Formats: sequence, structure tokens, C-alpha cells
Amino acid sequence: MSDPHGKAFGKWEKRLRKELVRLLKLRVWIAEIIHPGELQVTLLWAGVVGFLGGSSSILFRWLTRSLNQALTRQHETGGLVESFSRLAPWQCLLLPVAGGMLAGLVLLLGERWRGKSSTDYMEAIAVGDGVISARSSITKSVSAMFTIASGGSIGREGPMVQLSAMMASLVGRIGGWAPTRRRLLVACGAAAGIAAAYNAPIAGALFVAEIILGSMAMEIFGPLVFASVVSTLTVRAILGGKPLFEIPQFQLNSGWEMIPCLILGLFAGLLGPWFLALLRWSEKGFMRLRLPGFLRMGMGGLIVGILALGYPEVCGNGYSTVNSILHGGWAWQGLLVILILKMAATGATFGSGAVGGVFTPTLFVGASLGYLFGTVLAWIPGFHAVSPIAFALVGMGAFLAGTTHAPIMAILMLFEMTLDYQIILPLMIASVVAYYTSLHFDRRSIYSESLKRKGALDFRLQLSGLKIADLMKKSPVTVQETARFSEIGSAFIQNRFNYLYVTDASRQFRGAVSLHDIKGYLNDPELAELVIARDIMRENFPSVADNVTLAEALDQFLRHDGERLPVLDSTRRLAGSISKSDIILALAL
Amino acid sequence: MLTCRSVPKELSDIVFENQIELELRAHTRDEALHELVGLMANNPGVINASALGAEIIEREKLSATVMNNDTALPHARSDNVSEIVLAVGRSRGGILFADGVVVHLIFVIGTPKNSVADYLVCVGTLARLLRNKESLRHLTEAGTVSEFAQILRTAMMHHV
Repeated sequence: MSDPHGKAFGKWEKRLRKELVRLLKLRVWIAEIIHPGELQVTLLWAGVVGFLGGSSSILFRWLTRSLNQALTRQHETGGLVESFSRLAPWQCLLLPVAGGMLAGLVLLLGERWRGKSSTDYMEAIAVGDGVISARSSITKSVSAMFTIASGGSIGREGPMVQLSAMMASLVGRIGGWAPTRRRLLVACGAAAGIAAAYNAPIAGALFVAEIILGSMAMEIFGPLVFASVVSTLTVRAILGGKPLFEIPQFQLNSGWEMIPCLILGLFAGLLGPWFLALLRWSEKGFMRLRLPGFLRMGMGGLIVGILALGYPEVCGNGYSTVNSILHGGWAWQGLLVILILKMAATGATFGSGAVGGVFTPTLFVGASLGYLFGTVLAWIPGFHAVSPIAFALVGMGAFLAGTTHAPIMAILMLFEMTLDYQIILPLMIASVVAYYTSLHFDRRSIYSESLKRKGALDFRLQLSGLKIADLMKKSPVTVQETARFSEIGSAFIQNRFNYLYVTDASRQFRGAVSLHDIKGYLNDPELAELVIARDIMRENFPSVADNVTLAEALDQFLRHDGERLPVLDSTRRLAGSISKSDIILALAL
Repeated sequence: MLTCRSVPKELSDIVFENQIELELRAHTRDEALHELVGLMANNPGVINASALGAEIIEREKLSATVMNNDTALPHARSDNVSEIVLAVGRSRGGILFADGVVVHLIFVIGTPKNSVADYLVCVGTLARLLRNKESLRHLTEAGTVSEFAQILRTAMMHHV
């Protein structure tokens, strides 16, 4: 007896398959015209990571602000400094203590939840396999939120970058990407985080390329730029597109004006290592107290609270004070006091073990240093017309270069923060001089401690020993050599690859079916049951052994026009697949 | 050599009367395949007929090529042929091919390894023409080899 429902279903299934095959043909046609490699696809994913990075940064900002409003019971808009200046003295004193202790407790509780894993984004990019623990990142971010919302003198860019990198790591893991590509995605996440935090897409990309990866290879830099741009666009769409600092216009009147900038660079380069030494000294001092983390961080908060009683400007990352400095009108005595106290507050917060970044506090120190330098310079006959504000800007860039040891990033970041092209020449001179001066006194940058601890300096050594098995994507989609043509067609419809690997019953690699070979016949119903994989596979398909070096594997790719090759173990069993882009990325990093 | 589906004339060129046997003597699948491959032994496109026969039998064991209308299309992509070759056999009594399936028409195809497209065109065309009831009836009723060859050539041109 015939089954009308079954017949209708069969007809519908046939039609669906026909449409899918049509789409597949379209994909092959587009692929053959555009030839998108895995690097191009990576670029698209970098965009996704950029969007997630921008969004997570907005969320973090909003949560921190809301927490601050809840803790201070104030709902007025404005920065932390404004909010602290409105608090009663006892509140000013106790709030950072409570915030510090809560931040410490979050880390303590989080340790139980997240276990021992505490991978940070630098490790994941520089030496790791691109895996960042989501639990650890969330714990750190919540802890940072308490510190920042309660007035801790620390930057919010650290947790923003960590969150963004964690999102990227999740994307990489969900996509089942190889470690090199995951690492690149995490780097994109970090770049997106910086770009979002400072509205600075070029600096975001350069921060990661210059400081963490130490490479400007286009295979890496392209995705970093893409992620940074998308992240910045996301932030601008929601928060607006104004530069971070709005400053008056400057004019470089004479080439001689560069000489004071050069001297400022020298000062910034001298002070940079001192500032870093202060942070390290403070960290060691707090550790010597042998107190539980939450008490240590509470004590850091107490120091900030005491300082904030007289000078609320020491609270927070220093953004609002920098903005105020850049609008001028500061007496040098007042600024000098605030500079010293701010450095002490940053030392106390950072040293007590609080999670956060020191990037923005660094900008604060640089701006104050530059402003003071400009003020003193104006006392000298012949220089009375100079603007301390211009020197504050140059000082920010120079001090950033002196502490991060990344002068290109520092120059571009300042340019992007102010969008003032006039500042570029003095900025370049001062940043480079600061970098060289700082390097002369101490080769360690603000990040080298963390990178050294994670073994990034041995990274190149590790790379030379990398084997294909470390980079390959495991468990590729395969069919048996007896798989029918219909099954092969379905595999191509459901996946995005151009070669389908064929194995025998014991998983020995037999060859590969090329989509290009069969694309014109996918709709032929006569072939569906008659033809099997063995009939149409390429038997002498090139492969790579899992124990060869990256360079040897790359050599194999020279003889193959595809993007991926199968990886075989010593018994010729299919162990995975390796992409040319992953090898190039690993060699370029 | 076949390069694309728009050149039907060339596919029918692989039909040779001396490679058609309308009264197969064989009774088993392997006998029938050897008998048919033997017909192609003198074809200049066949490099080693017995090795080709072994390959076709091995392929058939892996997955039977019988169609549901008493026909079979045993085939192999092989290094033992330099161009597409075809041999056709008919058995009035039928030959047991696989799992109780008896076939009356057998088309043996050998294609060189270097061209998947030629292979798919050839197998697809033959499968299509055998699926056509009228073509199949004409082939089954053909009285002489030359009549069979002519019907086959015409049908191949129609169904490519």
C-alpha cells in the first residue's frame, strides 16, 4: 500500500536537497572566483571578536558605574573624583577599604570556583594555546569592578582587555580552531579591548603586535586591525565617537620647540623606571605583610581612602584629572602634590594585589610630569609663550613609551586620544627619547614582569620545537571508502571544506574526494547509490606526518594548492588536519 | 578523451561491437566479469586486462553496483587502462550478482585514474539510459550485436 505522507515527505526532502546542492554549487563558484583562504575567514572572525570585545567593554563600563552609584548612593553623572568629592570624610575613608576587601573576597571565593587556572590574556596570546579560563576572567573582572567602583587607583582597561580576550577565546574554542588560530583570536580580543577602552583602534592593534606578540607580520596584524576597528565602531555606535580627550588646538611655531620636547622625553625616560620600581617595591612590601589577600587589598584601599580625604583626585584611573590638566589652569604646587599622592595611591592599589590596569594611571603621571615641565619652562625667558598643556600631552606619550617600551603604540595612542595632528612631531621625538632613556636604565617594561613570569621570553625556543601534532585540528570529518555518493554530497553540504578525507575501516588514510572534481554531478540521482568514495577519491593525496617540524610541513604545502592537509600518525592513521595558515601563523609569531 | 558533458559523441565512441557479448557463457558474477574484461583484452586502451578484471571484482565486492532493474554497472578507476573502456554482456538466464539479485545486462567500465569527471559522466550516462524503460527494452530485445551497439550508441547520445 502506498503511503501518501511518506511520498510527500520524500518529495519535499528531494526538493530540499536540490536547493542545498544549488547553494553548495554557488559556494563553490564563489570560492573559485574569490579563493577565500582560511586567513580571509579568520579576518571575518576577527570582526566578530571585535564586536564581542566592544560589547563586553561597554557592559563592564556600565556595571562599574552602576556599582559605584550603588556604593556611593549617588546617581549624578560624572567620574569617580566628582563622586568622591561629594562624600562625607568617613565614607571617603571607608569606601575604598570595603571595596578592596570585597575585591579580595571575590578573588578568594573565585579561587574555589575557578580552581588553579588563572590564565591571563598575555599568557594565552604569547605562550599559551589561546585558552583563557572564563571562570577566572569573570572572577578577576568582578574583583576589578569592586576595586574600581570603590575608588581604587587603577585602570579599568585591564579587566576590559581580559574580558574581551576571554570572549575571543570562547569563540576559538567553540569553533574548534587550532591553537595558533585561537591564539590569534585572543590577540584580536585583546586589541579589541584596548581599542574599546581608549577609543583608539590603531593603538589597540599595535599594543598587541608590539608588546605581546613582538611581530608586525601581516598575517597577524590584519586580523588585529579588523578586530580593533569593529570594536571601536561598536563602542562609538553606543557611546558616541568623541576622542577620549578634547584639547585646544596647538601650533608648532618653530623647529626649536622640539628641543624642550626632547628634554621632556629624557625626563620621562628617567622617571619611567622609577615609577615601575615603585610599583614593584609596593607589591613586595604588601607581600611581606603575609596578610590574607582580602585584608591586604583592604589595606591598599585604606591608603587610598586616607589620601582621598584631602585629595579626591587620587581616586580612580585618573582620567578625569588628566582631562582637567589638559584644560589648564593648574598651579604647579597643587599638581606636584597630586602627582606624588597619585603615584602613592597607584602603588598602594596595585601593590596590594588589586586586579586592574596601570595604563591610565601611567597616562596621569605622564600628563602631570609634562604639565609641570611646561610650567617650569615658561619661567625661562624666551619660553614664556609655551603651553604647559601641549607638554602634558607630549609627556603622556613619552611616559607611556618609557614604561611600556612600545613607542609606536604610545605615539599612535596619544594621536588617537586627541585627534590632533600638530602634536605628532614633538610626540614622536619625546616618545623615542623616553624609550631609549628608559631602556638604558632598566630593560624591563611594565609588562615584561608578567610576560617573563609566563615564560614568553622562551617562546621562540618553544616554537622551534613545535610539532605538527601540537597545531593540528583533531577529528576531521571523514567518510569510509564505501561511502555512497549521496553521503559524500551531504558531507560537502554540511561542511565548508573542499576536500573530504577517505579512510578505511581501521581509520587508515586512503585519499580525499575533491569538491572541485564532483561539483557538477552532485545533483545526478543516478550516481547517488552507484558511486562510492573509493571510485572518485584522489589516492595520492599529499599528507603530513604528525612528528615533522613546521618548516617540513610547510614544504609539503608547496606541492599542494589546498589550504589543509591531512595529518597521519606513524601507522598512517588519520590523526587530524593541519592548515597552511596555522603553520604560517606559528612561524610568523 | 572525454573532458566535459557537452561532447556526447565521444562517449558513444567507446562502444565497440567486439566488446559486446549477447549470450554470456558465465554463470557466476566473477566468471561474467572475467569474460567481459577478456573481450577488452585487445583494446589498445587496456594495459593489463587480467589486473583490470581483478580490480573490478575487488571493487564489486566492496559495494555491489546492481541497479533495481536486473542490470549491473561494475566499474573501476584503474591504472590498467589509458582511456575509458566499456564491455557489455547479456545473459538470458541471469547471473547472481549480490545478495540474491540476478542481473541480465552487465556494463563493465574501466576509466583511467586521472579523470574523475570522465568517470562520473560515463557511469551517470549509462545508469540513466538503463533506468529508461524503453532503452532497456530495446537493448534486451536486440537480436544482433550490431543492432545492440547501434541502440546503445543512440541511447548514450540521448542520455548523456
